Amino acid sequence: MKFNKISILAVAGVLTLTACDDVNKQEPAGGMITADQLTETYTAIPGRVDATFAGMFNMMGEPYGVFGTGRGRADDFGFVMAALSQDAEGADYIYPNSGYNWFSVCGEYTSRTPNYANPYIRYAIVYNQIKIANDLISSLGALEDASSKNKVAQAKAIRAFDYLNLVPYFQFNYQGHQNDPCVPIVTPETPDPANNPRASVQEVYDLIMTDLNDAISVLGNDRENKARINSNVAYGIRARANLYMGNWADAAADAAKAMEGYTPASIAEVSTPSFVNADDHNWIWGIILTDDQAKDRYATSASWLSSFSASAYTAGAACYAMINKMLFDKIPATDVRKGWWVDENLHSPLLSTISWNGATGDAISTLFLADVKEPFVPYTNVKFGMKKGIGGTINSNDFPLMRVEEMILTQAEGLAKSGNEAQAKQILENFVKTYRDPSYSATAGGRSLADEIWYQRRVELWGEGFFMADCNRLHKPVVRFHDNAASTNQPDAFRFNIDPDDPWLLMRFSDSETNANAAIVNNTGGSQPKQDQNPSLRDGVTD
Amino acid sequence: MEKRLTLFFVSLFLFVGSALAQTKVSGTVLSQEDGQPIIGAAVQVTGTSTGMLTDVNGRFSLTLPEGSKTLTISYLGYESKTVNAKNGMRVFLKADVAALDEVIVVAYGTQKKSAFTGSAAQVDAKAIEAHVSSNVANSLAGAAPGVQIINTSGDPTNSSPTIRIRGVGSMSAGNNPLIVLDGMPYDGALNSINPNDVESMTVLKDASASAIYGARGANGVVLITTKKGRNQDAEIKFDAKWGSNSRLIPQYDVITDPGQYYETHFKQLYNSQIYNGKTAGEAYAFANKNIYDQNNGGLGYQIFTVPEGENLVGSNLRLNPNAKLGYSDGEYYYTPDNWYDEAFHNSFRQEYNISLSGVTDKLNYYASAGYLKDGGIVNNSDMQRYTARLNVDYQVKKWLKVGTNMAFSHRDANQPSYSSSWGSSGNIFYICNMIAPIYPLYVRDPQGNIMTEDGRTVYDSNNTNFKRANFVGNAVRDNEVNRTKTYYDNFDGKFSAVFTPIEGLTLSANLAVSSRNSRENDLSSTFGSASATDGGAYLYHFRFFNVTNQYLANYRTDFANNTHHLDVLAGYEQYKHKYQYMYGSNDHLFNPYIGELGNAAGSDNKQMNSFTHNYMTEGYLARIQYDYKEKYFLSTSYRRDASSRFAPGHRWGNFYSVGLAWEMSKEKFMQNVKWVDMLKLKASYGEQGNDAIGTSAGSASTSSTTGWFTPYADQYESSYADGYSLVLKYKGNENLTWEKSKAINVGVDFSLFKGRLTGTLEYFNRKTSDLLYYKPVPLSAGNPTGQYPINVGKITNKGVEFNVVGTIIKTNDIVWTANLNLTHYKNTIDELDESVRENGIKNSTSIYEEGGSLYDAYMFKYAGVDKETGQALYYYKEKDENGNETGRDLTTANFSQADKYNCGSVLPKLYGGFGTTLNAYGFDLSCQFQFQLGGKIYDGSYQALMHTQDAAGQAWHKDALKAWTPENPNTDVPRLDGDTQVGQSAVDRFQISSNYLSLNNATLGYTFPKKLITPLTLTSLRVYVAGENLFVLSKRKGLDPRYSLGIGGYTSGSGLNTNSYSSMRTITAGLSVTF
Repeated sequence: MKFNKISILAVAGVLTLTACDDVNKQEPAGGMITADQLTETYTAIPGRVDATFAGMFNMMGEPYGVFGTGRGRADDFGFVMAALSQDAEGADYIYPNSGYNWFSVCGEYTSRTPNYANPYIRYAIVYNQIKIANDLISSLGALEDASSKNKVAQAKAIRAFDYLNLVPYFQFNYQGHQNDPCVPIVTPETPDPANNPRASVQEVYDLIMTDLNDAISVLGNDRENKARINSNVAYGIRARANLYMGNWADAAADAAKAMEGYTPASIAEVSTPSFVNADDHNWIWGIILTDDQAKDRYATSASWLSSFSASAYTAGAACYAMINKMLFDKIPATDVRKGWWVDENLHSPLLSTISWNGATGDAISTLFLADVKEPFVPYTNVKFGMKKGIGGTINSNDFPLMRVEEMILTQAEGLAKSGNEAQAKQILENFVKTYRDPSYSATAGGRSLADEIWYQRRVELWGEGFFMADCNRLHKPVVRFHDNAASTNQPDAFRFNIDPDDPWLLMRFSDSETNANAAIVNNTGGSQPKQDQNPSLRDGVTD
Repeated sequence: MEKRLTLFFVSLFLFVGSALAQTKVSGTVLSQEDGQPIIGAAVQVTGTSTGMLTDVNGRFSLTLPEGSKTLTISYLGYESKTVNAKNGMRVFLKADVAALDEVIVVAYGTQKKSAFTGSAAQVDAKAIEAHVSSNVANSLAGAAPGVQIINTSGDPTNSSPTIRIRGVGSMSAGNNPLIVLDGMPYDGALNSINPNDVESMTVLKDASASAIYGARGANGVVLITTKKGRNQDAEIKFDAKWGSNSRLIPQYDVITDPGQYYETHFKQLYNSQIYNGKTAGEAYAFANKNIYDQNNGGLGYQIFTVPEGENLVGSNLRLNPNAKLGYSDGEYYYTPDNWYDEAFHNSFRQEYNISLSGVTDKLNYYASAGYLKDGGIVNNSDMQRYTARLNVDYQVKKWLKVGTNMAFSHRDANQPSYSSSWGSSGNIFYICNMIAPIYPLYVRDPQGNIMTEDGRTVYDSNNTNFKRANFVGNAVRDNEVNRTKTYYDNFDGKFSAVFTPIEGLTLSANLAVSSRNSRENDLSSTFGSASATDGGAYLYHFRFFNVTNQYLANYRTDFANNTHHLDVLAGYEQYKHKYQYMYGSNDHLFNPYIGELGNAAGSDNKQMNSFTHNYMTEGYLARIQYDYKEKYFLSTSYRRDASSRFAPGHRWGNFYSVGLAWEMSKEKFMQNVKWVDMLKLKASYGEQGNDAIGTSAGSASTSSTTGWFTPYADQYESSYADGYSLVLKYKGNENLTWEKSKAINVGVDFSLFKGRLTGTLEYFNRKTSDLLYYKPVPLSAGNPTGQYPINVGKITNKGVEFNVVGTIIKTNDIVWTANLNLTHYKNTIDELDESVRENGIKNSTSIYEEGGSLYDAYMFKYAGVDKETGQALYYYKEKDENGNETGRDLTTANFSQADKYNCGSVLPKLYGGFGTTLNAYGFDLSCQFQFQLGGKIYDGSYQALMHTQDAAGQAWHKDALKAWTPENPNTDVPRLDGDTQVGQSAVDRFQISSNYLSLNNATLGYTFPKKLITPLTLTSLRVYVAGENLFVLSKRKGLDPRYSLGIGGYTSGSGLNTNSYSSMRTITAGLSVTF
């Protein structure tokens, strides 16, 4: 039968057409890059290898970097968010107690709840970066060429920076707590992260110092941009570490090395909203956001810290970052920094230097644009500007990680506490008089030199994430009000003072850590602060 | 007639052949019941294999071999008959009442139900047509044992329910069944299929039925078969429906009186002080100062006018009786609006379908066209669907039949802004459910008139002199001015050629192509939330392209005097899936109403993106089916499958099944048991695979970090700024391979009392091993997703299913039937990864522990209210001085001290459906119910409505009024003082019974008598009214337990219900005419 053959041939024919190796050739294109495609890329363009290294820095302030764009959390922006959280837990940095405030967990101190996203992000971003640093250290650690050695040095400095960020979250100050449990150490040698107990404070500092010493021994002055680490940055991180540990003289010496080649911003330069551009000569190190990362994104410092973005929680929902009036009132009128916040009457001289939608000067304070800009509230900050222009929607503000001003104050503090009070005082007065308040005197505030330096840090570094770490190392209480409600502009629910030894100050490890790392013993003790608690506590600065 | 025809196609290949010519005999086979010809009846020369099937007129013609005189005529559903051969003979067959529903659609073909050794549930066209739903899957709800339908949205544009068959077998991999449309795997949108085109849906539940689908059959298979021609006389059918959609689930029982709301909020502010050591005077002063201060826990708005010098709430904490609703500050007048009533409304639904079909000796055709316009329950929410289908088979040669089945559908959809999981200010459903009853929706001038601007209504978006404490913008306004329009084009085509080279052997080649293109145009209006950018346009293009190649060889034969029947199938199947995505957006729209990039002139915020994902499976399959005297049945299958989701070397898996059945009623010893028509015992065992790990396509998120189609590979994301930067986003696992499930099914099918009572009882046990599982790693490990995929662990789903259909009354004029199906199953985790065996895997609201289930809730336990203080009490685990748990549970008012507990499985103990149909004197009445018993669900919406002070301005459930006060100490609602520590944590206090009873469908129809309509040249005419989704009875008003399986928290669980598109009720009237 002839047709038998025809039909069988036909079927056999199509069978051979489709039977091939296709199942091994299904790769994604775009969106995600697989490991195989990476190898392919590196073969074709070897220079692309550097992208991983760049990624280690790029992730630091990436919007939605921890939970992904799918979740789109407005508080998911890495180290910047951690800095704002640290300040919002402090005394000087205030958000209103409204439904728009994603940082209310910090204002009210529910950030100790182990299943909350806020402590998760603050913790995860650090270890995500540590992992990348570790990967670089293991893959390039044995190489002898200058470029690889430089990268490893930067990775070590990053790792040290990361641990130094973590330490004050989970344990009290170094002095007296060296043997208390701190955080788990993860290095390429860590056998099993799933059974990795908390290292002691001493062990963590040992790692930090070893890494920084290694980095400093390799790094020079050159770098690709201010997001990267050079010797200045490495010295600066070590200055901080020494400050935390109480190695005062070393802290001063390192700070001096860190600031080499950098000069503070002048009075003129900070008489307009600024601190958003890493190119500024006073920035030693910063997080640089690209326009693409930041376009129209709420998870950015522009959305939470600047009062001048048209796509922001601050202006859009009146969730402005304000200064505590207790600190504001301490700033002399002659200090240019008095203008970094609008006063009770919504006035600041800085506003006359900018315009938004045709409004200029104090008219910006009261400007209302439906869905875009709510009027300012008293003590709204105008310290931070908009890199891409006032009233724009591109939230690509850079975020300062280290400014020369911090190093000057660090140097002063190190000297003051290592017995060189006179020199310290001179450095302090030189800086403030030249760059902030021509009629400054270190004693006019009536504070001890140490407290005066802390006061300067609180004013100068407001909104940059130093408050809680300073409290921790200085053994200072968090003083948000004095005796009564009228003393502060803190929302009622956030109005309380915290004793420096309150165990509630220590963060709790996230469920996602303790559930998967059996060796972690969590911090305990204390309870959520109650409104108006400890009304008589004082911190030596706002007394 | 449909039964007879289905069989016609099945058995077509059985008997086509040649025989030696001797004496020529021709005749007709007719049904004794109605005298209509029987198509496809087997006419066989007795004792030989010579024979043929009757044609579409019931006619046959064959030549008798020498010595043969009798013919045996058989047809399924009829008693077979042996008669003397006579030219021109007319043979009447008597219906065999015991043999109802003889043929079912199975994997790669159809099968006599009696020969089927597996477990399946079938829903026929009649049941599907009874539903007024744009989605064919909804007709499975409550209709089939072992099948759970979870409707996650009532959105008319996007209502594809989740289907779960016999429990949940995977942890991190997909649990969706494989959908097979006309024999080919289908990945299209289920609501692109016009339910009117569907002949039947079969759910294959056990391994022997579905293991042949190997790769993707582990979660069950749903076979959808579209219609074909039925009668020689062309049939034209027209169907029209008009109806109304309305919101099914009511709002929770919230405080609607603005005064009461203020009063309650005032008390909370007062309590926050009085329980913090303040005096009554201080507390009152505090509350009075802050009640309007949205930045201090207050509500922001003043909407009552109180006489000069008086306060809104008096020192007795009651609303000032002199307070008058409505307040003017000279610039605006403030009075609350009912957002819920303003936003929700009924809408019109209309649907028209026309089909024509017929059969000639060589051609079978079915063609249809349909139009549907389905409205939503808020503005700018609707869908129009145009569908067309052409299904043709042509017998080209005796040995070659070609066929094609092509369907095109186009949908236009308008979607409101909402999310299925997340409450946000832009989500219209969330806002309308959650906003306090004190806020105006519109801005009014001092006279109280709603203001307009350039003809547009001015909505209150915090643009007056007051600011809300919560909820930025105005979602109702945004829904009016913004647009999300989606256009879908779907083409599904199947092309097949069937060769019959020798008797009994068929070789078929099938090619199926499915192409889906959708384009979404989002307009964010400058009159709404996009005023900062002067309007934005967002464009999304999704393209799916699937190709299935399938080559099958099937040989059927019988031997030893037709006592042994053998059916062998072998084949190759390959499936390729391509998903392509493109996105672009820009702002500054010149014309504020056009959401296209060409109308967007912005320069700063231009964004674009695109990517492609590929996925493929291929496999070799074989099956042998054998029976002896149609009494003992054996079915066995094997498949070797590869999936591109796994790394080379881990791609291929082997899957197989064995099924046995014994039709006991055919044994001699059963012949005298007259009341038993049929009794069959069956058992099967098989192994299947599951590869569904990673993100499935369709998600608009490009930064999804769950692995896509290559979960085995490490994945990075790149960006550029002064050089390239690369970040690891996903940690893969090269060793990842198939998740395997081993399923046992044992059952009995029965038919009693001449078919008056039929049913099935089955036991199943499905063990899944090598689970595809995203293993959590500690955050300190720095893995960007906090997890990586491995094969570990074992889960069992075992249970019992029961299905029964009874005919209660059967006379010439009245037939009354009732049906009931029940499923009980238990989900057990048998084994977990070693690292987590001791403590289990703790998710935010669930816990996986050995011996527990995948649905064990994990949350804080509420210990009631401290009668003295009114504080909420929570349990915690007592520890001795060494930190070891003593086993005792203590209570604390300090939430930070409380512990989370495993609160047990939330899965229902029993679920099912029941229904009834009454046909009497031309009237037909039917209804179908669905229910669930013994489970729990987390009511996150209720938790949000029982909020404390951190949610000022959010609606309040009336239960909050039962809060503890010194005068009301015996309550389980703690005092209102802002227990902010609990926040959004999951507490078992908000868990509630998930029992429900729903009336899915009720239909009343009338079919006009033939004598009335014949003069109108009509064949049939039926008018009907139908109600779909008529009611859901649940434990709490506002709760829809059908939204999830029960696990959840504040923002999930039933919380979805208020954040997403609520379910709709549809009532329609229609008529159906056949020419």
